[in-house]
Amino acid sequence: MSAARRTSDVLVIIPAFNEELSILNTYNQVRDFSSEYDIIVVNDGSTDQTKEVCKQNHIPMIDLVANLGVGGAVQTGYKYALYHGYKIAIQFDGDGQHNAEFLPNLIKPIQDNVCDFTVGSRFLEDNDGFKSSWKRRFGIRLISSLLFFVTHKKISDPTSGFRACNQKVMKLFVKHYPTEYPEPSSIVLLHKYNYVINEVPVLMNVRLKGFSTITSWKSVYYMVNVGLLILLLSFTKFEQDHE
Amino acid sequence: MRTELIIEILIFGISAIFLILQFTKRGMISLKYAIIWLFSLFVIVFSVIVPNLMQILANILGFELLSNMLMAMFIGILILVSISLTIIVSSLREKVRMLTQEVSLIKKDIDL
Repeated sequence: MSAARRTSDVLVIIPAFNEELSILNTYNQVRDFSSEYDIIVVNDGSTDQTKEVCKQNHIPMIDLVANLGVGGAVQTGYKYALYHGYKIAIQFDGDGQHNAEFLPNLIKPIQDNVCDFTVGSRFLEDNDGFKSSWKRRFGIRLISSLLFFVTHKKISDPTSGFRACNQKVMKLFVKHYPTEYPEPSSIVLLHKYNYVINEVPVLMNVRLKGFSTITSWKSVYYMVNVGLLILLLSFTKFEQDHE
Repeated sequence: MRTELIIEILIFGISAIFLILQFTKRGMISLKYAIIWLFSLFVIVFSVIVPNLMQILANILGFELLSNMLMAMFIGILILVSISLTIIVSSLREKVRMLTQEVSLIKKDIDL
């Protein structure tokens, strides 16, 4: 495939499911912050006007022909990045929770070859940013502990969807992205392939509009699933050569 | 095992086999997945044709009633069939995901 539209080495992937109210703000936030990055919105079969909003505002968009869930949408973004030869791909939420100012902080360690993958964490530094409810934080702690048990790595914000990766990781994700509960499970996957993960402190905003995909009554179900998945992944053998 | 029961199970088993074969012939079930059912039904039919096989098995396995063992056997077969269906659905799901992604990427590249 051609790399005709590529104007940068860095691609910001914005997965969007029913984000008609915030997708334009999110896009503009990244665009206004810097024109150095290419941006692609992956519309995950939204049932609202997300697609129309993108078209009207000439936002570059991949329009998934069916709803795949956030994992499948993000993986599509990684495929796009790899096919078009991007060196770094960043995942950035469509709901306005993430802050474009921190993009360079996420990119730098990868550019400097310090690590293969960076995760933006809310909990690394004491700050006034949005840290979610105590229930959610408790859940995140649990997942974090489980990840530590499995990978012996401290990841303070394993559910953060603000992350960047290099081409090697992109290749892995195109082949093996864990499309169910992708955030915590991809950490286990990366650990299995001995990729270096760094956490970068970031501030997050309170979700502007729309709702989290994880509602409270589903949280127990979520925790059981994530826990099981992390344990299963940690016992799975992967072929080491994925390139 | 009483003759009536044997005849009932045979009628059920053979008509089910016939039904599956018909569906396969009409292309409503692919042969690949028809095999799961045909094999299970064949096991059921075979087990009642062989005289005293079920009674002996029930005694060995410790079922007080032959009918209990039959029930357990049918449930076991259904569980196995369901598991294989889950495997099939999961692999189809993976393929649909892959196809959705590739089609959407191509649509993007040709600006549809």
